[in-house]
Amino acid sequence: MTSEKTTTSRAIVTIGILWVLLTAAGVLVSIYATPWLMPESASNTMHMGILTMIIFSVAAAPVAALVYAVVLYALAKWRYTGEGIPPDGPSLRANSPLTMVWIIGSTALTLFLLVWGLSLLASDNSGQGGANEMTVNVTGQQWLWSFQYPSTASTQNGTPVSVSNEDLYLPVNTPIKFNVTSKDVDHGFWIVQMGIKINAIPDTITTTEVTPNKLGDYDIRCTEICGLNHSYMTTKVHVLTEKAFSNWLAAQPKHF
Amino acid sequence: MTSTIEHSTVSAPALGGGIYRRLNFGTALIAGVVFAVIAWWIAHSLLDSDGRGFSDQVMVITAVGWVVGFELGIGAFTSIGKWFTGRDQTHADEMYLAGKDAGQARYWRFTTDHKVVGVQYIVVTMILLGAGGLLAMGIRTNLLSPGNHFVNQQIYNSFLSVHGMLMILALIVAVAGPWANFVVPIMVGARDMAFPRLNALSLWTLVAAIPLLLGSLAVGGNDMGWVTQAPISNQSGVGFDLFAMAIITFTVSTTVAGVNTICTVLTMRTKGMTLERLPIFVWASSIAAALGLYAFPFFLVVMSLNISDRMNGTSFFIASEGGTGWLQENLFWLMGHPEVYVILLPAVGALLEITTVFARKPLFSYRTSIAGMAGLAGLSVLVWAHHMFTTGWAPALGGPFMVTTEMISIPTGIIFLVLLGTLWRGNIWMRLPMYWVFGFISNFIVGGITGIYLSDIPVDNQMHGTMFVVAHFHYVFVGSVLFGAIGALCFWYPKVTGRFLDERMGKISFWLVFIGTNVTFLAMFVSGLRGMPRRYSSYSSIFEHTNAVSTIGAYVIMAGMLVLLGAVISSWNKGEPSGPNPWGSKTLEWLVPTPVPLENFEVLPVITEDPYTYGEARTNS
Amino acid sequence: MTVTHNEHAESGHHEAPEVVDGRQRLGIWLFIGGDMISLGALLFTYLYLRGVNSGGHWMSIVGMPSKGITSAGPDTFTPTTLVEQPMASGLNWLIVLVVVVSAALMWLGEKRLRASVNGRGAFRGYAAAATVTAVVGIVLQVMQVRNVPQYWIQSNDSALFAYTSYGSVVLAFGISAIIHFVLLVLLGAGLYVRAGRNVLSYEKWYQARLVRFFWVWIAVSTIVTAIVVTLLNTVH
Repeated sequence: MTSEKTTTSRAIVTIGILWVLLTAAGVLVSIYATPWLMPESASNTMHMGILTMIIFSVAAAPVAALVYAVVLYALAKWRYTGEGIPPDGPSLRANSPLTMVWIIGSTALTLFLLVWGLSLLASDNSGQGGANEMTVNVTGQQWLWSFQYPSTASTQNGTPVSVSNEDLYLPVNTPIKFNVTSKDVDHGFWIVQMGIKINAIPDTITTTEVTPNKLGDYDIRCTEICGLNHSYMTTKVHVLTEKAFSNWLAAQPKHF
Repeated sequence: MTSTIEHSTVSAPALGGGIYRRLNFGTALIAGVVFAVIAWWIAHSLLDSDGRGFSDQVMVITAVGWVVGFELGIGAFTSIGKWFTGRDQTHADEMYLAGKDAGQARYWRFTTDHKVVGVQYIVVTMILLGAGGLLAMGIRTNLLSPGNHFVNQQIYNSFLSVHGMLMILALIVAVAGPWANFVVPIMVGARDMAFPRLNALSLWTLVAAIPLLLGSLAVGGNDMGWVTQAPISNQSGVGFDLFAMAIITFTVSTTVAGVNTICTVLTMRTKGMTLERLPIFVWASSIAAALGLYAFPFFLVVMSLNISDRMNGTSFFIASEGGTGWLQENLFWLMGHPEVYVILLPAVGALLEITTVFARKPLFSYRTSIAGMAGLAGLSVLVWAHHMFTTGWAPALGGPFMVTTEMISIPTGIIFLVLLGTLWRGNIWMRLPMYWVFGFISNFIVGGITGIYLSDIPVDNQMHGTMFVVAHFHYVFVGSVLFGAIGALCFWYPKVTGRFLDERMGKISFWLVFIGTNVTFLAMFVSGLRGMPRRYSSYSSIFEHTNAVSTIGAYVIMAGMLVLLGAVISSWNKGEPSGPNPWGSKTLEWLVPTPVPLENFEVLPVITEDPYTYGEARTNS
Repeated sequence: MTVTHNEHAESGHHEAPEVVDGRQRLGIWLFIGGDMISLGALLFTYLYLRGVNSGGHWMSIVGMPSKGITSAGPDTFTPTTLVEQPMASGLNWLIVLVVVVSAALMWLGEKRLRASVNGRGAFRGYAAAATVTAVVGIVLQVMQVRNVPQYWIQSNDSALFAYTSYGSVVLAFGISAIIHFVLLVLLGAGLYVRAGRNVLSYEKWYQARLVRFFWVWIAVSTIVTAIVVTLLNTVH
């Protein structure tokens, strides 16, 4: 009986050490590899998305490490090396305290992730709609995007006109509201480096908001299959300083 | 027994009794084609060729003709006709249908013996996986390098749709088809399924659906993805109609199969086989069958409405006429998420069964594991809108659906607890089935954790519709479910054939598939993280390396699957003989002879304890 | 526990009819359960489309009425916004009445069959009446489906026929009902024939009950559909 106890405690100690080591490795990979693998961040939304990826990875590391630690130990130490069908193992049918700890632990971890995610979701919605918010109308069609700036609307000979373009130009540090629609089938409007995505749906307007916080050129890609040239339905976002943006806007011809 | 005496007087098999005894797969194909041609001709002659959706109407009617003809030709309607005319089947008829003394021929016809149906399901699953796998190779080859046009974009998009749906069908039946049919009735101590004829009907209805799905490629394909999203589904050619008719046919098959499994488990258990003594695989199969019964009617309805929009002028999903594509997405995912667990649970059940046998230990926390699977099933019907976080539908519901989705990780954790608890201090016998268990654990933890990222809306806003999602669900479907299905095949193969699946080839195949899976889909995670959307036929050069790696990994998986196929075929007749119970298992299917006789048990056993008595000294076993 | 194999004893395992019936009852209820989900999906569709009233097009459409026009070329096409009226509920409730009567006949017939050895003749009468009533139900339902208004709408220089979203769901309910009524007719006729050949009788009455379960469910589903379609049809 004692020898059984000592093998069990030896197993627990070894698995524990393995667990700590694997967890540490997992945490390091989470912290350093995640931002390296993801696109650069051009908005706070994207920044928080990357941070969430890191935090979730760090939280998941001990779980995955525990599973791998037990599996590796089992493969190394509990493997039967004799011939034929092995003798029966111990009859461990249940361990209620362990089961409770496991369920409570996984519930607590889930709650933590939920609280993090829900509060992020809430802050995401509340920070929008400031006085200086600018609206951009986004229209998807097979297989290109076009962007319209309704704030430039005026009438020429009785026809409403405004600036529109096939590249998206945005002023930095200005909250942008996108009103997204489509002329034919569903498209997915995704600004890769800003962490926002919303479907463009015919005869429907969907909205999403973001505040670009970094100058530069970024990517828009379509994320809903939309037919033949879905993979080519990409365009660029140019984030300019506010002054450069208004100069650009003023220089554009207006279309209907 | 009087019945025995009666039977001995009609000893000569009454062949030649009616045309239905001459029906088989060949007549089914002929009748299917003939009926399809007739249906096509009638539709062409009677319908208004200028009307809206004329070609769709013709295609749907042709598909119905094919299915009806095929079922007639295989003999699926024979007993219905006999019921209708009040001339019920005699005992000799039933024995004929069960394939008594029919040899190999019974595998090619409407045979009711659950073991024959199980073997037929093995073959059908391999055909589905093979066809879907070839399409996957086509997709990956096209993605080998940026701007590669191995196939044109139209064909590429069709490959995506049909690959997706073939694999979904393959995995729905991969464990439940062969093993809920072959072993569940024996496990519960029954002589056959509750409704043997419905069992054969479900198999042959599935077979009838396959040519429709593959045929959709031949008639111009479709490019809406396997999710059949509207309104792009309305742009597709007539390939979509065959695609949707294949799914409608399949829902009939799987509903019939699910009812059969549940009835078998609830009403056919032998004396003493209480619910608490049921092997865990029986629980898993039953819960999955019940969940399927809930999920697949939505599939039937959404596909019917989709076809109707195309051919009847209705406007369910057409926004300009009062419909909305969000309705299609809701109906689709009301089916689509429970379906994931319809696929996963039988595989988990089979792997738990394997783990107890090869660790020589009782299942750890039997009741908790049932609660975990029931919890997965229960939660899975409440999470469908997490597929729609970025569609703009009901943003206010995002929070609640995020909560239900993340709660799924609790019952999933229970599955891991049960697996690890069963391995704990076991005498682990590393035979072939056990390799797939360890492969499953390793892959499923990756698939599970990446699912949690996607359930978080701020992260999903970035990751939805990218290769990250594709890699996530392939870790679940390939890394976990396919591993479970292959593990189950390796485990029960000796019971089906009386021979071991070649251990050496099996292990080679394991390492190829395991390494290939991880190479392919880890690289695919990176493609997704870097920002590559899914369903791209060509991509910018920043995704070049990871895609090349994924493609090479996919070839390795294919090589592994071919080795496995070779092992399955070569061991079938030439493998090392195994005897009736080579693994020393205690579930009932191993205690009957191999090959299992018709009707399984001469005398129905009486059960006094559950099958997990490893390490427990019993006087009477 | 050992299990031996005996070639000659493998047939003749007969089960009591009650046991088989219990299993089949569970089976029929599971199928009805699946059918309930299908109906639920259609009700969800109806209530969803009515609830969102996408583009205000629940009961209106931009086009031309199709009555009296056989083909509308682009030249003669002048689309206007047409507002549809809810379908007359009288026909809908007449169908309900017919199906409920049909189910009641089946139920009465089953009672007579189970009541006495001589009930078989009466059962055949009731089954025939229930079947004929179901045929009437099909006829009425086809009439209703044909009454759903169609319109011409313009699309890429050609005219297509179309339904409003309200009309679409009513059409779907109607087609679903027709399929179910056809099943009832087949089952009813089958029972009629079987009772005539004495395979359905005082001793072997179980299948009559199985069919009755399905029949009553169809009556219930018709009632539920009628309530939703006639009482919840306009958008407020």
